[in-house]
Amino acid sequence: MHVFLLRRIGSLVVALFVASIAVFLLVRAVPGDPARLLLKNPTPERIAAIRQRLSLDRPLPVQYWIWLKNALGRGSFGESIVTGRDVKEDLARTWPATIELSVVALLIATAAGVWLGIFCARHAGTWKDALGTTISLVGLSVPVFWLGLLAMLLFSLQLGWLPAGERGGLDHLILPALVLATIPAAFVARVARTAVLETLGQDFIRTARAKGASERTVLYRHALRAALVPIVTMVGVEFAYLLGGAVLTETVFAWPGIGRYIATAVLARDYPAIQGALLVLVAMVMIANFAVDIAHHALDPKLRR
Amino acid sequence: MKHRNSLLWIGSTMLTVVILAAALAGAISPHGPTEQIYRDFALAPPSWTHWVGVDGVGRDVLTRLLYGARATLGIALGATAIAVLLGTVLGAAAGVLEGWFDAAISHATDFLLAFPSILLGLVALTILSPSPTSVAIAVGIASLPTVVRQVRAAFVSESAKEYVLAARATGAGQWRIATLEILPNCAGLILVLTTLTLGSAVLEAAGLAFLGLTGQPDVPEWGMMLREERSTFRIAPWLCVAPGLAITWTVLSFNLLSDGLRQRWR
Repeated sequence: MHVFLLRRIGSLVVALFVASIAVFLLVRAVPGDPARLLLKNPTPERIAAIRQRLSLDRPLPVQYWIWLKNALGRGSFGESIVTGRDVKEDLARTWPATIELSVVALLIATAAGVWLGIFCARHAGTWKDALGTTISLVGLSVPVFWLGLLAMLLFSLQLGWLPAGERGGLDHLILPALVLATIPAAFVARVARTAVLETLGQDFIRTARAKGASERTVLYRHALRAALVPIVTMVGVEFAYLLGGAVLTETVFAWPGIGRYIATAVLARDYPAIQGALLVLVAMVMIANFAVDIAHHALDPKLRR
Repeated sequence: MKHRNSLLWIGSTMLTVVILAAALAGAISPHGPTEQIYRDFALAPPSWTHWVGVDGVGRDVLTRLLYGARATLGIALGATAIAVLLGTVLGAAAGVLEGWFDAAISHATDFLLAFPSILLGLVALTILSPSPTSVAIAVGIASLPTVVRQVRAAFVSESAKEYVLAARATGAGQWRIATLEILPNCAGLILVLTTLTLGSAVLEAAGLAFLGLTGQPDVPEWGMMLREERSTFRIAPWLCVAPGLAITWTVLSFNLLSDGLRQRWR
């Protein structure tokens, strides 16, 4: 376990390093003068200043080193072209909103998905299975932003039950979290259904049944535990999905998170903001995947040695 | 047996409707997609003359939906062509060649798979100028890692099978083995991946268009229609419902096809 942990931490660090190079190179890949791309009102003096500060006349590796030192040391990616504030401040304001939304959506998606998957597997071959499978297939095919618009139309504008967007109390969180959870829930349901069906056909389940265990015990104690590994692996993929879906969901619900921040930044070609937000989002996904790998390792007896 | 046919059946029927809409848009609708001739009827609800109503600037929405099928299918096809062709070549090469090339490709795909694909699309669009072509390229690149990984895995597992060993024993080269021996056996998988990528490409392109990254407002694209009609959706909700239904319908048809194909080839 220790060797595994160390190796996994090593690969996390390497991946973050590669990601930071990619994010740095992004602005250099855009046609045009990087000094102009990084400034709001590029006057000759300000261009000269930023050239000096980022050492744009030095070789690329040196430039990268200076950029990384700025990003890590002072947490500074420069000034946002749109808001005029330090990107660091914008990110500090937006990331908790995104984490709040995606963690709640992750919980909903996993619970709903696992429940639907077990439901389908239990009634395999019947109309209930067909209904559940159809629901999850449709759930995979619906564009999140449209679902968000419809949910807003129905629950806030027509019925007036819930507020239409923006961050606030728990009532503000319900709609966006449910909408964001839809696609991952459908995904988890499909994986869970297959995994549970597979384990239900195995000998140890027959043994449990022969011992007289109730159907409930067989399902939740025996089958679900064995099916847990593929489901946990899915959660990592899910989180990447969620942060991607957050870009759209946050835009629809005017949720002040990193997703909406990066969407507006890309639209405005606000490169300092894009770089900062990208790095934070990528770090979130990688850390989540890291956590999932550790959990996977702890859960799978085949890997525990 | 009956069940697996029904998935393919429903999927291909649904897809045919979309293809017909795209192909016959000009013949079906008496209007043009950008004609603003119904300004007096702006935001009119669905009626016999305008089945899905009229949008805020007086354009017939059904006409725009039909032409939108062209834009959507075009972008999805372009993106999928990039992802599947390039992905198959890279995945096959990695699976057959092994060694450092395989290691490099595998690490790169693992790395890229950690990114949410819409983020990859966004990144690509910060470099490219916004246009439907750029969206197709961006979505294609974003879908690439999944295809590479699956094709590589298939090639690796096929490489160990006896027919490949036999071919190798007769002195066939790597290129010959990859194209003539293994590739035909992976045709089913590649077909499944193609339909799957088409579906996700439609979703993703619509998402990017919804964020306003398609650029040209004269091209009616479903995601962009949703973006435009968002401002009026309190007074004219049907304008928002229709493009979303069209997207869901199309993606569902591709997902049904890919499920049906997967079962058939298993």
